[in-house]
Amino acid sequence: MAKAILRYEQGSLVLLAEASAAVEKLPGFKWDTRTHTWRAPAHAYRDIVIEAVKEKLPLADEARQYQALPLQLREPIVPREHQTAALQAWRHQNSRGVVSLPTGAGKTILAVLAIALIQRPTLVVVPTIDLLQQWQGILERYFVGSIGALGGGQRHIEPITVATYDSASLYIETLGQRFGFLVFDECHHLPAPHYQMIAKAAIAPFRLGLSATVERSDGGEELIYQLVGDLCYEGQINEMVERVLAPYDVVSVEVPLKESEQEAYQQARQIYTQFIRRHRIDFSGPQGWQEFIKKSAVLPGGREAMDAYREQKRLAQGAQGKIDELWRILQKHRGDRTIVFTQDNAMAYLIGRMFILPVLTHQTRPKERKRLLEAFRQGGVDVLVTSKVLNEGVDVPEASIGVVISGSGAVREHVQRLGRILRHQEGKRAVLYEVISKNTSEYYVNQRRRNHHAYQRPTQVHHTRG
Amino acid sequence: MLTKDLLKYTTRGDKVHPKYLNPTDAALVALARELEDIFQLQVGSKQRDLDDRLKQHPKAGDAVFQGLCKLLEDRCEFGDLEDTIEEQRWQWMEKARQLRLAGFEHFSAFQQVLAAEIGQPFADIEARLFADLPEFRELTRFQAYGAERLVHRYNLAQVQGLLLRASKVTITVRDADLLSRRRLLQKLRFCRLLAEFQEQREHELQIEISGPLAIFEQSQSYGLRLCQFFPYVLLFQDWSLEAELRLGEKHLQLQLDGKKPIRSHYQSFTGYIPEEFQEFIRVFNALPSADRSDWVVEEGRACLNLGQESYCMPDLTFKHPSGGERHIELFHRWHARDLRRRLDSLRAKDAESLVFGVAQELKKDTELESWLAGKQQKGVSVFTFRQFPTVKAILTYLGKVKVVSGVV
Repeated sequence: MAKAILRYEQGSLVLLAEASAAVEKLPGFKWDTRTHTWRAPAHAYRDIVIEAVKEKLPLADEARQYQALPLQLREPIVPREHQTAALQAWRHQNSRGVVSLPTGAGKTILAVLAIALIQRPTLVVVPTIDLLQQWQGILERYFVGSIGALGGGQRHIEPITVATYDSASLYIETLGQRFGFLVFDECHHLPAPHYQMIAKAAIAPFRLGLSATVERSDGGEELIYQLVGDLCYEGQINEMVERVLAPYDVVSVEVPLKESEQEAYQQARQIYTQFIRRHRIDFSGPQGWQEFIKKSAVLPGGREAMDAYREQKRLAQGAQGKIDELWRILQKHRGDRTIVFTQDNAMAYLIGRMFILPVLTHQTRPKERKRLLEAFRQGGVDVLVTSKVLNEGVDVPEASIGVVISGSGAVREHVQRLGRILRHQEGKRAVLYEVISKNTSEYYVNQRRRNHHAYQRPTQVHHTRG
Repeated sequence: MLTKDLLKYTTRGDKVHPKYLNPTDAALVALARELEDIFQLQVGSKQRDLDDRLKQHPKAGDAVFQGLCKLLEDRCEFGDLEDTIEEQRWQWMEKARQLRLAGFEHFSAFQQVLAAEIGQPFADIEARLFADLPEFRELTRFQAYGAERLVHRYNLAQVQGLLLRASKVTITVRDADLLSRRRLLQKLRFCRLLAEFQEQREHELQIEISGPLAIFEQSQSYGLRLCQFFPYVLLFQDWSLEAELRLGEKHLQLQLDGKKPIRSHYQSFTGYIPEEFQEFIRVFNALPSADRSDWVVEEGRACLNLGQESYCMPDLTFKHPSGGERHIELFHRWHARDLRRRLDSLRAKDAESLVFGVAQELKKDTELESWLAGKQQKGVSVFTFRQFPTVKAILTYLGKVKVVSGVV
């Protein structure tokens, strides 16, 4: 039988075969009427090659543009118990799968061990430039040779390269055949339509997804498991406390709204909820919010309802009582390294101005951002106010107090924020304060969040007087 | 330029159709006029005030409103921010940290003591603390389009936004005027696009341009240059465009022609001069005339017939009061083939007034480098540059030139 040729073409695999019988035995191929060729998604590469070997089909593989990469660790790593277990579980799943570990449990080191084990050119995909630099630093420490970077103005490709999701999705069609191993950091981002392309358009047979919170409210984790591999190991925060993570407390502080705030809140809330009831918008399903956006844009009273929704949220998130409470917390933990989280930049800068505190947002210039993080690590800065930029990944192990003044209400965001303060340090006990406006929607969201396993431990609720 | 979320289009099959606004729609034109008035009135105010004013508009949530605002923002000039604030902020933050550590029951007392120690009212400290944020920039200048032209600009921006996602763009223009067609090719090179062109039929020029998605390095700036080139195509009456796009996972085609309601905001081929050219021309001509040996530089406008149906549209032209002229043609990293073609067919008499600038990256190819050295030995003037030729490099060359009159 004449050899069939397997080629990589702009994110997909093309099979040039004379006999269609050969094609029928291989998974994923469909006849492309535009180009008159058999075409399969690139991520089916592994299954195709395995099937061809199994069926003894002569296949000339011109798709793969990488070779095995001899890699040795510059310094030995002694994996912790959970890292060894996670690695074994991943190997057991043919080196494909998702590992869920809380922040601070050593996901990056786990990936380093996996890269050293797999010995293939590796593309590590991360959500932000800060994380790109952080990963680059760690990989340079453990592997000989330059580590490539794709994103934030950098574009050099090396056998081990770190890319942002944005840049990788742009260039995956030209890089998809050059890597044998893909590592997706914070892989809960992967289901976004543009980012899926990275996993779909790459031939890499070996894949590892890392996240502290894989579950998504839209059920998108199923797609992650399909493209990266099933969940193979899950380490819970509450199981790792003391051994791997710092012991911690979650303290909810309920503050009452001032009379004028309460009045305005009720008024706005009423306009908003009346609209929802009138148009039977069901918020118990995943489409509730989308439905509200659509209906508020076209139906009479929709604009007022949207404005009212924003207003009641603004009042709950920015209540004066929260500012007073924050001051009390900062005074109680004088000298402790503290991160204050807000929902938006406006609130972050308001706090910064009132207490003359450093604020870190996406508007902070890179030079000052570096200076701030460095000073925070060294202790020259003891309190950092931030909106969302520190939610994910960036290492601030010295932080031991977190104060959530406002947030999106999502479980993921809170677990991530909790993760910021949980890196283990000798003698450290972390505290996450959640400051909630009493008798507002924040209170109910907080109650729902408590079902997450991270909160399944003794929790204190403090009430402050209005 | 419009950001991705502001692009409006529909897809049917594998075709993408931009959603255009009707430039004769009175309500739209009125909105465009109102927005231009708002921007104009805010000159002298902070960016934050402008943003607040726009947020209050009843149509603020509308995508067309936001698109028009984005295009108007691109016509704004903002003043510089104070760069001494950062150090001041750090000093204040350190003082505040020390006071916080000392302990205060309520923050109002802390604010009072801090203000006293710094020697300024707390309200002033608070106001200046983050005064280097972009929202505090002053709007110093705004250039209006005119209401109807703004609507046209929106339609053009919809197409430009899609072109940023193209892997290949094929443009065909039909025009009896040879000079216009040559001018378009000159702009193509001005914009440093990777392209092939051919003139298959009489009066018809077809250009095949690699899109930003086909370029690995500097694809963002390449995309912007492609967008800057496209309005020149619209100066022709008879044109068509086909682009292969990638939008998310979909591979789609964009097909447009002169019948679509898109108009160029360039008045003519002299409309747009890339910034690096403007800067070079400004700096060179500002030198004392003795330093530049009386040479004056201008944007290249000549169309030089080099014979054998070969034409050169120089990038820069140097003129001397004695009547001498030197034309500079630049070849960037993607123009290796054009460079070989040009120098292989160059006649000795043309070589006297033509100077070729070659990007350093092209010379990384050792074979090309030695070939160039051979050409230089035969009297062809070649110099190298990194991003753009420096005034110093040009002065060095011109200093060696014996001024003689000779236009090709």
